[in-house]
Amino acid sequence: MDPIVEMIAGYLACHILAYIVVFRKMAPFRTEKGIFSLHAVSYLIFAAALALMVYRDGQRRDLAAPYLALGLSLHGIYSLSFLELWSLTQGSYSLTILSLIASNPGRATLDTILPLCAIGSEKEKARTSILESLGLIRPISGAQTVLTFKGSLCARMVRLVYWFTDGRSLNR
Amino acid sequence: MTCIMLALGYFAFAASLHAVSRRVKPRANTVQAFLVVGTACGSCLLYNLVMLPNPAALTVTAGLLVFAFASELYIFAFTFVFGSVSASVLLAHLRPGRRPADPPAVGPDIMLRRRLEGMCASGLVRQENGIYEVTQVGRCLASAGRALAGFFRHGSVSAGRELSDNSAPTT
Repeated sequence: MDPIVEMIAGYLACHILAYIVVFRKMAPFRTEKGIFSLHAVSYLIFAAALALMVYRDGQRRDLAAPYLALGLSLHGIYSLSFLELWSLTQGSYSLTILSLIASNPGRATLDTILPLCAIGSEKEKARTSILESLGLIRPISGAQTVLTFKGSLCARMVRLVYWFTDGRSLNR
Repeated sequence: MTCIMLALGYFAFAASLHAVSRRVKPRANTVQAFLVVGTACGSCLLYNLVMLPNPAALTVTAGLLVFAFASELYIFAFTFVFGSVSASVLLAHLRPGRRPADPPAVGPDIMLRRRLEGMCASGLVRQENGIYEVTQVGRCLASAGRALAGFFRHGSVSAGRELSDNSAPTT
């Protein structure tokens, strides 16, 4: 097999192995920030190492773009899938609802499920404070908030994604 | 470089087709609609890459992976936008005529009812005579979720259990 492709596969295998053996046991890597940093830093180091490896190899310099595209896309697919699964299982509202209904077989009515609204409100409060700490919104007085310039750009990007899907939710 | 440009071009075309398909067939599932157009465009991309002069396995694979990564990012973006509380908070701030003191446009119980409707439409849950039941697919998803939560050491998906333990039993 091509040594660069071997290096790409080996690096990704080592990354998941390091997570299983070391990082998942460490408290900082059980937070959103920690797990995102683990993948973002790895992506940057991997990109630099791959670029260096390809450019230093005289025979493969002409194929630098496909090698970089292949490596960075593979790492991107791996990291994005990992982070999606991680966040989906961390505090998913849908999984909580499913768990509640499953643990009440034959007697889960809307009244049984409605107490979960409290989680929704808590989540909104927690998310609002995270958006504030990220500098996307800022308080103007009391609980009132407005978008910052960075927040306005992010909100417009979200609206663009909405436009592509015609603003309808996933299964309608 | 041609393989990357081709992959990005085909991805842009797939996203545009997806936008059109959402308007032509608004009742279709958003993810499935993209999977259909994405698979069609991906197949055309593969044909185009193989038809390039002197196609190499590396350039064909690189082109397909760039297309796959862009597609995964796009699917992630719209599933995130629909499900994320942060995205709805940001969007609420953009609404014309909204004053900062206005309460949220969507109450928490409406959010929950919509989520339940979505889960019924996806076949994870079914509702009969006001009683909700988890389907086989939903049960598999819940167990997979619990297994993954254990793998990631999130603790467990316990909120539902805690609530059900505290609720009075009905006979």
